[in-house]
Amino acid sequence: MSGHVVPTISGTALSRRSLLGLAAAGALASPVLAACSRGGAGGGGFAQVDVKVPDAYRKRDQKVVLWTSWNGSAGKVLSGLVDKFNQSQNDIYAQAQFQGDYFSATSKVTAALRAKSVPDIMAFGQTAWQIFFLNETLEDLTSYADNAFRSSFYDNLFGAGLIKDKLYWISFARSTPIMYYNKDLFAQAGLPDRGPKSWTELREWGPALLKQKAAGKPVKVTELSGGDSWEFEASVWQFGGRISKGLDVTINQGGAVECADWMRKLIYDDKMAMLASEYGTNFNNGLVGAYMNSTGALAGTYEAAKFHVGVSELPTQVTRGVPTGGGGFSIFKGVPKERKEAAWEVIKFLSSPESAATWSLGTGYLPVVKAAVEQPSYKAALRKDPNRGVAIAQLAHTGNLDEVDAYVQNASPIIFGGLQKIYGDNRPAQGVLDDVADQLKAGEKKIKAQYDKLVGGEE
Amino acid sequence: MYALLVVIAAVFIMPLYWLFSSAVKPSGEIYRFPLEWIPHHLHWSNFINAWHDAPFGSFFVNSIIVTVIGTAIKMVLATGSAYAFTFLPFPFKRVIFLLLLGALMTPGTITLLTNYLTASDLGWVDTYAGLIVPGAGSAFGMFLLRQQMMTLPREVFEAARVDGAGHLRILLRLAVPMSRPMMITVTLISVIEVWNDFIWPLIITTTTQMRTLPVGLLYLKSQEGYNDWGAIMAGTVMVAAPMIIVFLLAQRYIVAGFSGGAVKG
Repeated sequence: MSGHVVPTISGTALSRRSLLGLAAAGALASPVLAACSRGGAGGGGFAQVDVKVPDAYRKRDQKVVLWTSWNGSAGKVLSGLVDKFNQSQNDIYAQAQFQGDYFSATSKVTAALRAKSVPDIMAFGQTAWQIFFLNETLEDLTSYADNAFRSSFYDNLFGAGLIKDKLYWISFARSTPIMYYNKDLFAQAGLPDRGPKSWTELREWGPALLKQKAAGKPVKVTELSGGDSWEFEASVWQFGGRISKGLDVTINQGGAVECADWMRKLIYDDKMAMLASEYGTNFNNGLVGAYMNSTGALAGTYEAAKFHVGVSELPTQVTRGVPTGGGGFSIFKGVPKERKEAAWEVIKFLSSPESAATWSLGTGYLPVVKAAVEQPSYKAALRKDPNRGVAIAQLAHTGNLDEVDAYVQNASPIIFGGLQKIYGDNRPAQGVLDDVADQLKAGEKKIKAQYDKLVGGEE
Repeated sequence: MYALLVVIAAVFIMPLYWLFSSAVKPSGEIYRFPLEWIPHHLHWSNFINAWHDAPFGSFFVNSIIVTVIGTAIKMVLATGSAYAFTFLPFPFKRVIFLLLLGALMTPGTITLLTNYLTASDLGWVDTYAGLIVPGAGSAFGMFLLRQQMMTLPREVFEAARVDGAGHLRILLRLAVPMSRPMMITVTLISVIEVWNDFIWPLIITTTTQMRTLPVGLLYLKSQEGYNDWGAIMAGTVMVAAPMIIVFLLAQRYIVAGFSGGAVKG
C-alpha cells in the first residue's frame, strides 16, 4: 500500500480513511486493510454473484440478483413479487437473496465489492448507502428514472435518495415512527380515545394512567428505547433540536438537550416512564400506556397485544418531527450496462402501484408510491383498519435523518450509548451529550473531505 | 465453597434454562412480567413455526456436511502436522512451528477478507468447498496434538523403527491410538467450532440453499417490527441441542484430553 491511497473499488481511488469508514460498516476493518496489497479492484465490469437459475428460466438473456435484508413474512412477500416479475416477461430472470440484517448485508457487500463480484441490486438501510456513495461506488440513477417514475413516489420518500438532485437510492421498504396506545387502558383511565397531541399532554395524562394496574403492577405512561436512536431523533426534532445541521453536530445544544432531560425527568422525577430493555415488550404486555415505534411493528403488535391497539401520529412539542426509516435499492457503478438496465426493470416493477400495495399490505411498511393506496386491495384494508392510514397521513410531515446520523458510521450506537447513560443512570443530559458530540465529531472528520467533495454544503 | 459453586453453576445454567423454557412458551408468556419460570403448558408449535419460517431441513444438512467433512480434513491435517513436528527432522522446523503458532494467535476476522477474495478467485463462493476448505487448517489442533505426542515414550517409536515400520504405519498404529483422548478432544473442539461458525458461512454463502444453521437463525429475526421470540428460541434450541448432546456424551474425553499426557501401556 502506498501513501494513503489503496486500490479502488469502482475505478476511483479511495483514501485509506474512507475505506476504513466503509469497512466500519461491518466487521471487516482489518480484512480490508489486509487486502490492501492486492491489485486494483476497479475498472468496471463487475462479475455477478452466484445465482442458481431454475430450469424454466434458463433461456433468459439476463439474470438479476437482488440482495435483501427482508426475511420471514416480508421475505415471502418480496419473493412473491419477484416471481410475478419473472412471469410478467421473457427476457430477465430475477432472484432475491437474503443476506442478513442491514448490518450483515453491508459487511457482505463490502467483501463482494473487493472481490469485484456483486449483486445487481443492493437493498441498503437508510443510513448504509451513504458511505458507499461517498466511496463513489453507486450508480447515478437519474437518467433511468423518467418523470412518470419520479412523480409516482411520495416526494419525501423519493427525495431521500437524492444527493444534489441526483438519484442514488430508491425508497422501497420505508417506515416512520408512530404513536401506539393501549385503548383499553386509556378508557379505564378516563382518557380520550386518541394518542397525545404533545409530550406535555401525555405527561398530564400520567396521574390517571399511573392509577391503573396490569398483572398487579402499576402501569407506566411510556417506555423509551436505549437500543436505537431513531425514536430519540424524532423527539429531538419535536423539541426543536437537531442531531446535526449539515455535518455540524448539534446534539449537545438546545432542543436535543432539553428533550433528553425532559425524558430523564419523566423517568426519575415523575416516575412515569421506563428505559426498556426489549423495546415494545412492556407495551405489548399492557404495562405501558403509549409509546413510539415503527409503522412496521403494527402487525406484530396486533399479534402480541391482548388489548385493543390504537395508533396516532407522533406527539409534537415545539414543532412536528417525523424521521423516516427503512431501506431502499441502489445499483453499483461497476456493473455492466446491460445488467444495470435489467436491474432497473426489476426496480421499476417493484415500484409499481400494484407491487407497492402488495408489499405495504403484506409487511406494514409505507406505500412508497401514491397510487398504491388507490388499489382496491389497499382501499379495502384501510376501511377495515383505519390504523393503517395513520402513517400515510403523517407522511407529508416526514424528513430525512440528520446528516451526521446518515453519513457518520456508527452514529446510532454512539447516540443510544449516550441515551443509556441519561435514561439508565440518571445523568444530566448536557455532559453526556457533550461526550456523544465529541465522538460524532471524530466520526465526521473521517468523512468530511469526501463529503465536501461530493455533497458540498448542501443539506 | 459449595454455595459458591452452586451460584456459578446457576449463572451458566440460567440462560440455557431460559432458552429451553422459552422455546416451549407462547410469545405472550415469554414477555410476561413477573417472569414465568415454568411454562404453563408445552407449546411445541414454536418449533413448527421456526421450521416453516426458514428451510431448517437444508440448513441441517449443510451444517452436518460442513461439520463432518470439515472436521475430518482438520483432523487429518492436524494429526499429520503434529506428527511431523514431533518426530521428523526438517529444515526451519522451529521457525515454521512459530509461524503456525502465530496463525493460532491471529483472530479470524483479520484473514476474513483475504480468504474471501481467494475463495472468490477460485470460484468457491456459495459452494461446499468455500465453506469447508478455508477453515480446514487447525493450528490449535496441531498444537494440542503435538504437545500430546511430545509426551509419548520415544522407546516405543524407536522399537517400531527398528522393526521396519514406516512413518505412516507408526502414525496410524502408534501415535494416533496412544493419543486417543487428545484426538477426541481436538475432534470435539473442531466439531463445536465448525458447527457454531457464523461469520464465515454468512460471508461465503449467498443463497438460502447453501446456508448453515447459525446463519439460518437470521431468517427468524425481523429487520424491523415484531420478532416471534418463541420461534427464535425454538430455532436456537435446534442449533444448540446437537452440540449440547455431543458435549454431554463426550465430556469425560474432553476433560481427559486436557488433563493430558495419558500413555497407554
